[in-house]
Amino acid sequence: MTLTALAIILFLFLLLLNGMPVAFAMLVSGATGLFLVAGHYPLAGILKAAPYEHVASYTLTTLPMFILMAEFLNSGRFTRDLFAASDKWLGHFRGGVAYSAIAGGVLLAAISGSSSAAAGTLASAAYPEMKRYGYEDRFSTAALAVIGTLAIMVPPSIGLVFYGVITETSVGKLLVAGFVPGAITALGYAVTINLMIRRRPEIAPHSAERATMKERVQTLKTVWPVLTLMVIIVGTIYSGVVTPTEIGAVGAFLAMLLALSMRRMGWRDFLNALKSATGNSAMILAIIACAAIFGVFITMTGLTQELLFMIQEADVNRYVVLAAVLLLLMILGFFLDQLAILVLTLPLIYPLMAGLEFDAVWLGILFVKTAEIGLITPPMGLNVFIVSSTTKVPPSRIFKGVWPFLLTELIILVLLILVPGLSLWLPAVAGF
Amino acid sequence: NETITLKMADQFPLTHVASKLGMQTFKKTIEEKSEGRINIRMFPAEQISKAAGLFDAVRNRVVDIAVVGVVYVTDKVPLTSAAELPGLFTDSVKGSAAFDAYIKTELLEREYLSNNVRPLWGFITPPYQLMLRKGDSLGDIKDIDNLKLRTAGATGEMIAKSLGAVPVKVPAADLYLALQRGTVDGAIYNPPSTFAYKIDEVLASVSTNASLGAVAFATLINEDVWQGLPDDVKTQLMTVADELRTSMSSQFQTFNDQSYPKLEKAGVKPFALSGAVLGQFEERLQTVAREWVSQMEARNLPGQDMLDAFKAHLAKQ
Amino acid sequence: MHRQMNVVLGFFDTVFLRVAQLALFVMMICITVDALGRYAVGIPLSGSFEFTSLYLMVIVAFLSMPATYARGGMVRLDVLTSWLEQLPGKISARLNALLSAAAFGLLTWFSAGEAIEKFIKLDTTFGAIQFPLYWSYVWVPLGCGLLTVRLFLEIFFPTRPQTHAAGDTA
Ligand code: NA
Ligand code: NA
Repeated sequence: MTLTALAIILFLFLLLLNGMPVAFAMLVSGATGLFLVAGHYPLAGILKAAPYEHVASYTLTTLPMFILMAEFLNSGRFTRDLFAASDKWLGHFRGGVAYSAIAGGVLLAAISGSSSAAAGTLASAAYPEMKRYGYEDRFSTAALAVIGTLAIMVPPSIGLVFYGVITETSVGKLLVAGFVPGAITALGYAVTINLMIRRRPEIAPHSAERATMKERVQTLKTVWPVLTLMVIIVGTIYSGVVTPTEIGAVGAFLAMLLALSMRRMGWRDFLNALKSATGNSAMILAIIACAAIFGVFITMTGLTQELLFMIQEADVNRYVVLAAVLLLLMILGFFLDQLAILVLTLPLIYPLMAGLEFDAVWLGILFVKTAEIGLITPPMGLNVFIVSSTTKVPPSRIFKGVWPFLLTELIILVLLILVPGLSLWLPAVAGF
Repeated sequence: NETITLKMADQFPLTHVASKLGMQTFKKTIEEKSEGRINIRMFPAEQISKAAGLFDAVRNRVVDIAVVGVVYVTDKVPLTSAAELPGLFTDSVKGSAAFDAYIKTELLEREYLSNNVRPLWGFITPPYQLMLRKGDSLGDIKDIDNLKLRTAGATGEMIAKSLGAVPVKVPAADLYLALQRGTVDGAIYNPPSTFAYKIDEVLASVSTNASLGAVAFATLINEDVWQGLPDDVKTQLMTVADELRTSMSSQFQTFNDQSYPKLEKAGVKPFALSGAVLGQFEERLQTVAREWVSQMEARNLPGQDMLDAFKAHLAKQ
Repeated sequence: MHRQMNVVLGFFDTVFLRVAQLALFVMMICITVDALGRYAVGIPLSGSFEFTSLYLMVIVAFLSMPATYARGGMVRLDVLTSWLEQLPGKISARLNALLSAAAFGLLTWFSAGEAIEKFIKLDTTFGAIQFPLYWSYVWVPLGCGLLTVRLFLEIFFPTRPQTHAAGDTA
């Protein structure tokens, strides 16, 4: 079975290289694999049910809804105003707009629990602006895909809630624990962008001259509606008016109302926003539906179990075991979506790691961080695909821009491993 | 004598009490008793299929055995859901025995064999309780009016409604935040699961003596797989299943009872509803069973007869 | 012939896509009314949870699939594209179409069987609102079926893999 699993994974890579759409390649290879390892009945049963039931999910509505919110914000030219304002304030620095995108990403992460939703939102909101200001597409799209991953670490986070529920670790504690690693990650991105710009200044132009204070204050007039909207959205979620799953829809609704009431969105713009949101959602939902089949195939081969068993039997230092497990998660991230990885591996990994007396909250942060890295690693980085589908920049180009960020992510991961206090200090202070 | 490998799936993480007492114990016991002849391959935590799809997974022979939550398949086994109606029992050991008999006699052909699956054992959780995020008891029936309560499943929704509360559907992933931030005022849930979802951290109080429905699980084996098994293996499976149902339900009941001191330690106050309030609850909850019967009969299903049959099984315990 | 088929397919693609777009809009309204109704007046929109997940999500995902593919909206790796295009007989594109058509054909076949069975049994949930589940399953074979027809045609009339630059998901 291990051999079949490896052969099918190779088959998947060949299909991807042959230019088959990612979703289709997962369906073709997953179905072939299922037939080989489990036979006719499981294949038929999984085809009947898996794509349907993975999509028929209330939690997943957050994804198309956030994308729709971004489209309405675009149609109402609110994102343009925001970036114009940030250009006036920060434009004389090189990469000013990229730093603003990080700030926007942190804000978005604070309301969204899903990386894919955040990446889709950021890409459709910020990319057209970055393009307008002359940013190199390889750099700007990579940055957006990477900044989107902040949503899974900064609370609220679907990944951390998931981890907490599966492993029976305090969700409250996990969510608080995500703050500092999230902040360090955001800082890491800023530093990376800074270094990249220093090395190749042409990727991020800056405005000719410093705007006057008067010009800067004037921008506030144009951005107050969208800033108010953002405050309301953050307010509704933190006061419990709506749940993290619902905030995308409510946000989209408010953005639509704002654009309509300010007469910034006509009937045609409205339809166009709906069109792009549907098209971008379709691509991601197709991947999720088809990846479900591939996920069941991997489960049925028992490949992850076997690898973990090998790690367990090796009888080595516990940090070596941890490194091996994180490496395994990262490799799985090459071809599976991060929640699928957590579902697949946690029931096996967690007892193993808990047995080695690692702290559960700290492990949660490390696992989620690793899954997050998987979102931007080639050849299967969901965030990269999402940004690609929204911006029409080919994935291979985005992947090329991702490498420096990937290096930063690995450094941060090592830092989180070496200094558990980064994850555990805040929950302790908060009284958990 | 070849080894027989059976694939078994459920929705629970391995750390969940229902997995420990259910699938894991079943695997261990059957592998021991059969001296290695029967081998169970476990697929926990919705790895193979979402909870709502486990019935189809065993029907379509994706797996050989699955633990199916009745709440997810009221379309496929509508009459089975009689067992989830409120106010029918308080002791889940007796409730489970009655449910097991009910699905293996009256419903065996009608809802299971006709779907090409066969029940191995049935299990019902202890009755659901009222959980509040604020306040340490419910002193008056009026206090429940317009309280937003998170419910799971259709029966739960009707229970909350009939009590005068507002049923709210919140996905499991959002439950913690919804309680913490006050999106909902409480939940109708079973005490052991509070720990699994960590909501003991964000609750203020839990009732001890309400009977707000329960959740039933049927462990099913694919009928073709079953028919292909040697007779002695069938006997062995059924024997272990019967033992398991008894041990599982009594241990789950114990676990349920023990969760109150554990909840109290976590700062969640257990409270008993007064006799007067319980009486008012009972009165209001009668509409749920009536509605259930009328919906079944609208589909030409013998709702009243089957509810009576289930009650008769309960009376025998 | 191929041209006319394309027009017919394109028509259905567009109809399906419009339904998906409408579903997306209704989804936004449903969830918003549910959430704000619950907060403001303590009356959530009953059945919104099931209606959104069982119907609207399935419609958005599966009915938008054929048009999104046809218009180049399905993301793919393009590292070798220019090299593969030089292979004789458009073999790379034909192979992709063949394998995808086979897989989506199977998916259509099995999910159609499932949907038909649910229609025959009239599977309906119990509860405050009784949901006809057969109307939830039917979108999978519809969307995948239309996609299969297009993929099947592409075995014989391979199209140049749509690049993103040429793609317009509208
Ligand atoms: Na977040
Ligand atoms: Na990856």
